[in-house]
Amino acid sequence: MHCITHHPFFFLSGKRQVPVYFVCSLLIVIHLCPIKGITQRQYSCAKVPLFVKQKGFDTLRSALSTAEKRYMGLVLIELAQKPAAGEQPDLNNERARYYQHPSWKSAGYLASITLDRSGNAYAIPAPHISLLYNQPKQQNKIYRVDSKTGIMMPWMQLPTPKVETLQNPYGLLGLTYDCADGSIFAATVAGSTRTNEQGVLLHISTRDKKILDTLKGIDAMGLAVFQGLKGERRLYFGKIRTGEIYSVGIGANGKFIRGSVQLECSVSGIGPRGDDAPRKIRFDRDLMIVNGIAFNYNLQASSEKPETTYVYLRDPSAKTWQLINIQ
Amino acid sequence: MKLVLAFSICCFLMSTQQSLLAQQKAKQSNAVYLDEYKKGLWAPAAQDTAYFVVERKQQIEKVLKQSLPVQLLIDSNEQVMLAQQIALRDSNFIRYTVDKRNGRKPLLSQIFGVYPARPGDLRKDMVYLPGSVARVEMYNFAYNLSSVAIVDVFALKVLSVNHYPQSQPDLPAALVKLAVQIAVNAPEVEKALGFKPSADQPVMSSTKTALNRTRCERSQHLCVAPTFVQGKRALWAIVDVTDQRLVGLRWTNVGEDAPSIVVTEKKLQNENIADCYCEQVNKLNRDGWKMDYVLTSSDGLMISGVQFNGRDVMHSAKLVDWHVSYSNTDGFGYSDAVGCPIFSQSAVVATEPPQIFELVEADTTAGFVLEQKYYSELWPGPCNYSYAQRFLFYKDGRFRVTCASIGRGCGNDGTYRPVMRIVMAGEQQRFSEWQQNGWVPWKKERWQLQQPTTNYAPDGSQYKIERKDQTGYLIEPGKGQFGDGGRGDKAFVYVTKNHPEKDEGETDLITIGPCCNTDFRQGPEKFIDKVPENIYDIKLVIWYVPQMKNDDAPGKQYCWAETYLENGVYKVKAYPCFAGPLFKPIQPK
Repeated sequence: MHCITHHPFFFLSGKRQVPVYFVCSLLIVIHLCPIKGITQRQYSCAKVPLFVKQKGFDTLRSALSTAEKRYMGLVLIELAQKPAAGEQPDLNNERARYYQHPSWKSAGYLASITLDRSGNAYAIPAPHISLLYNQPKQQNKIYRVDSKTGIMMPWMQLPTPKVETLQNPYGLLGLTYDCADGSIFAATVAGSTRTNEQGVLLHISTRDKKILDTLKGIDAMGLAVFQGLKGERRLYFGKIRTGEIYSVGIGANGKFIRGSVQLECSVSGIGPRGDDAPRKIRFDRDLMIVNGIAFNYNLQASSEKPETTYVYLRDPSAKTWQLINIQ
Repeated sequence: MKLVLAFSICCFLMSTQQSLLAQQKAKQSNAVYLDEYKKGLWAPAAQDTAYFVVERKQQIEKVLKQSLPVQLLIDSNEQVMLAQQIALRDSNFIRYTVDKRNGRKPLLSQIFGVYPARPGDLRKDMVYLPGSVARVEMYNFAYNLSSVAIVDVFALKVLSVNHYPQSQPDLPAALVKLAVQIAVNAPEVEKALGFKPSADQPVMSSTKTALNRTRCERSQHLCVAPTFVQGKRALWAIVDVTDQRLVGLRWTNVGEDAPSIVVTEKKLQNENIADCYCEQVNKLNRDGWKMDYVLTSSDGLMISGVQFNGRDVMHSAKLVDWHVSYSNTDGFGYSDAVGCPIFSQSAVVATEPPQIFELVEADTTAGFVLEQKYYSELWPGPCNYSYAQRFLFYKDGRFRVTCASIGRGCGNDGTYRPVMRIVMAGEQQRFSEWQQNGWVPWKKERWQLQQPTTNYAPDGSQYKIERKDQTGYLIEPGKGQFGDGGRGDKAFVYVTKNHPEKDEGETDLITIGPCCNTDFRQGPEKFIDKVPENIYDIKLVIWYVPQMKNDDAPGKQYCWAETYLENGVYKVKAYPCFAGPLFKPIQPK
């Protein structure tokens, strides 16, 4: 599956060389049921935001998108066709209608979205082709869309680097919600330069916006929490510069367990390009699905960034991941 | 050719020397990219006269004249020949050997290998005798695509066919030999190694193969890397087999503790440009002109400290933004920045080093050109862009600051509005406009649009910028008179007070205007105060924003690019729309 994208974030499948601006960066908020995994207790607790129904959108075929053609920011879409029973909707399908609250474009272009157990959406900004609507100083801010009112407000300004760099227009690049304790993991590359990897992984409590812990010196994009059968949690993160996927243990106190960082697998040197960065990581039963794109810390339109999906199978005895498919 | 190569490899050769000198300087490139030499923008590449390249071209020519443009793998084993014949009778296997949209013109394909089928090639429902099934691998040079047929040579039938875009089978021996010949005969390889290698030297000691796998991601060509091991280092020579040329070189460390990296065309291009042109200011001294130049994060190639015959001419000139709007769709378009390929704020990036070449007018060398091109990865595919900057310097002291769109964009209703920023040398400057009765100075910050009714001085100039001592330059905008295909600039010109303390563009500017304003609101107007400041006898900034409307009509193409077939592979035909003013020194009275 080659994917056409604008932003190096949430994407859908498509065909190569379709017009640049047809973007699909969607977060499906439907069919989010607990999944019983074999080797991990994996489930999603995310709820559909209440405003989706309030606006009269069919929750079975609606999604939040940050990459709709001619829309800046967040958009609620409803697909024209209902998916067949038991099937996921095809996000490439025609849109029946759109809704955009005025506040949803206040942060310029957005990238990742994640939902919490109350249906609140958290989103991070990222520039799209130019910095006109995404000023560099504003790229390290997490936004929150209230489940009831649908209003998007700045939620948390993360620390910004003391020295601005012209080399890197990005700030936050990764975001994921941890159902286990209602916290958020975020990845920022603000301040990173070609010779100095300054990225930070942050663990943030959504209750009091307290930064529970940080892991510095890592430029990461894809983030996902893996929960083992005994409840132990590890944060998986995709390193942008090397294409490697690492994991780090998360302690009961929310701290990253020092010395527990380990290499899980790598998409470097494989796939049609060979230099992909893991943009998105997700777990599905025994599978780890990684979406990779080329990422060079510039603003090249992501229509030029075909996406490749790498599928890994967990070997529970060896606790390793085996690449089983590249799409 | 020498000029361009010397230019491109300078950083790399310095690094080689530096390593011998205990690497005194920290910032040196390990990579060199060799631009395909062309006499000018989009002129055909120079013909390679090496016998092995000539032979290969003759082979290709012959294959393309066949009814089926596929080069066979010649083998003494009859089964191998038979397997190919069976596969080539299958319409699905050969479906990509002609361009169906283009009068069924032949596309170059070649059988790379015939092997016994692998277990994974065989489906459960296939019926065959053991040992009778072969795997036929064919490569399509035009589409960078592999086709694989599983053939039953006993039953004389094809069992399955698959096509794999953007993938390449293992090369046949003849192409391996060709790649090695190109590498060992390249003067750049000889310079890097310090000796001319023999054809059996590019052998990886670890793998016992002559070639490393690599990719040419941008050109989408078939590339391999003959690699020469020297002690603990290895020199990768990336060879483009499709175009039969050396793409570039890269040293890597070898050994168990060395990081395993794959050297590819894109990595090599990016590293070379970042090291040598983004992080390093280069100097140019030619035909009486002296200047510095550097690739910026988002303002294109910037020249600065420009002097002619020892006299200061220009403080700096650069290209801040490209605004692209489409008239058929309100508010649709892009604001593109151009500049460094990695760690930059650019949307369309430099993938080749700047070039310097002779400026020839009426068969004489009138000066030289400094040129930088920028590309989207999938250009000239729809909705992808390419731009160029050209600074032209004449031996008589004139100079021209220009830029061009090279298509292709998202439609044939596009208008390009590049924003150029030019700061002339000198502190006390005066800017004047030609009106019917002569030169009229501008006393306050303002802008003006070049229109059909615009008055020009007898020499064609519209503006004049001079210092208090009355030395300066006449400024002649494009009206289609420069012989570069430009059809007139229709330029907005803004003159603002230079405020270095406010940083109104002295360092890299982020995007200053939206895509789609069709009037004077292109960004520079932000630097004109509500009460415009005095601009008489002070240091000025000239903002020049030409407007170029694209066209795809046959015979009239402008700001456009399209592909065509040559020797069985796709090439690009480009129709740049150059715009920009000519500066002519004011003759002393």
